[in-house]
Amino acid sequence: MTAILEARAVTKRFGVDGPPAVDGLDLAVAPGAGVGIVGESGSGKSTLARMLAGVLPPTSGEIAVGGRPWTAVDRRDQLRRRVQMIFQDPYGALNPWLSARDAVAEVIRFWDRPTRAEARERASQLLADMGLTADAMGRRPRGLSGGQCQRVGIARALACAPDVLIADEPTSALDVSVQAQILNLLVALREERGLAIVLISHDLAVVRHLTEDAAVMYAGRIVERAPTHEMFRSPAHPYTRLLVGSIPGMSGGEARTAHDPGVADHPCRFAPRCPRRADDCIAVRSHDPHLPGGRWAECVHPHLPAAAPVQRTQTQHGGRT
Amino acid sequence: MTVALRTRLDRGRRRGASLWWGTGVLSAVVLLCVLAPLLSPHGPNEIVAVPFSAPSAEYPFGTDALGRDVFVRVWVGGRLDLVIAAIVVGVSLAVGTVVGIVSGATPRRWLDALLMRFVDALVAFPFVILVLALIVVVGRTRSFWFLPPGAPAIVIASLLVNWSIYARLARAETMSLRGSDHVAAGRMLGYPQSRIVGRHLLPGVVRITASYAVADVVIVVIATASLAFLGTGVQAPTAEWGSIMYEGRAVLGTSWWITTFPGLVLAVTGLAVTLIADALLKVER
Repeated sequence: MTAILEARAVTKRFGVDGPPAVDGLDLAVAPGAGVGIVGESGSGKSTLARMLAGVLPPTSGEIAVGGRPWTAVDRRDQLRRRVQMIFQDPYGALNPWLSARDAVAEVIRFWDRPTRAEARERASQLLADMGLTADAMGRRPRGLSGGQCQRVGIARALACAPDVLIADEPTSALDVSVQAQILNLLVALREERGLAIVLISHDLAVVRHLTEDAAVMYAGRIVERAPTHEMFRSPAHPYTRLLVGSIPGMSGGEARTAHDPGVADHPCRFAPRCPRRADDCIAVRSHDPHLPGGRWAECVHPHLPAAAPVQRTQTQHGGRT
Repeated sequence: MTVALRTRLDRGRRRGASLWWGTGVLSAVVLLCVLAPLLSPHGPNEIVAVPFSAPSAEYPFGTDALGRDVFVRVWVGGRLDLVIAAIVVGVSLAVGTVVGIVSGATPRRWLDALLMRFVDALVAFPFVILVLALIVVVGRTRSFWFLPPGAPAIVIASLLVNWSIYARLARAETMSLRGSDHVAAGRMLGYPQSRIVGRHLLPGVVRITASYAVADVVIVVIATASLAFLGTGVQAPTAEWGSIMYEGRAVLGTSWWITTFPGLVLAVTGLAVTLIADALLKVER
């Protein structure tokens, strides 16, 4: 399995000596995969999304698309088209001075150089596929609803014919009824076009609906990776458990008052909030995150599916490369 | 009808009203500037009657110290004031917007710093001294193309100072737009810098600078008139609002019409332009 989009030890720092927003993170997206990234506000999800989309350069580490780092991809390179993103703010992501049709036609004309009329035709078709009415296509973002804007944003991304679609909180700015429509649209796109999707959300239900693999981010690091259904069934990391427990209608988690993410001297970032913190949960980075049963969590005292006492592997070398 | 909707409609109607009043009055002033001298049987520098004649049916604004028709002089002078304002504002808008957007959008920090320090230096320079220096350089009596003696120096001096304001406005707006998602989206879609600047930044920046340009017309007209009033502007006998007022100031107590009428026209023009600028700015929000 070759990854189409891959992050290797990616770190992003804003300012000279602030804490990193994303801290040495690895992630691989296979063609057609559905990867969910979950985490609370401030965990670095959006920063990661922008770096994956190639609009924000990492401070260190590398993001490769089709095997080539973004830094080696020229603006006009066809590789540029293969990763596209849809934004959290559906209005802000659109040029306020272009109509929906013009915004999509601009992309088609830029990449494929068809005639003006043909580009308009293709843009209209694409927007219609996304469920936009002919009347709405002629309007600028200001005249469109949030859901309509998000459809335009998705159409504009698809106009590039991408292999990977990064969706950064695609529904958090929308009404509940519209959220479902947009999510169903994304599900349909995955089925029809074989798109890989990286879905970034604080909403676990959204991730569960749309992805097969999930990663949980906390303070710039991925703390747990698992197949989505398994993660929901038996979260291994105490933080995942906390997140799962906070969804209404989900059982099995331990609800606990959330404090500010304390990035203390403690090697485990989550330790200040962790209900399972123990004296020996130090040096998480030198601890092997591979757990029995094929699970992966950066935790010394994870919850394991089996009721057996914690059997943590004693390898001392770093689990990540 | 809800209260919110009604107030919104009212506001819309008021905005429409100020736009209509503004354009109506300004068109009337421009029309008079163009037509009045054509319809008048005599020129602006022609001696037509006894000096200091009070306003009458034949000479609505009276006559000045030399017996020239103030009515004709005011409208002929208006042409010059409006032409100077149009040149200064037009060139400032174009140059300032381009420099500002380049300064705000360039990835080269040194270029931005260089342009902005240059702008700072210009703004820091006292305007009146700059005009005086330029008049020495360009010459009091230098005319250029259709600009009468004294006017080229005013145009050059005003331009030198004026464009910098547009550059600062354009730079600030560029900086704020640059961080927005639709510009990030442009980069993601692979657009080159030239397209991002031209299609995704420029429309927003021009909106801001063009709105300011309308208001700036008043500032330039008043600056031109003030310079003439100080005696450093357009040279006699050329008529211009400021120079007419300057000539009449000594006899303000007895022959009030010489200063009052050009001042009134200047004020009314300024008000009209301000109304338009105000209405346009509200449309933007």
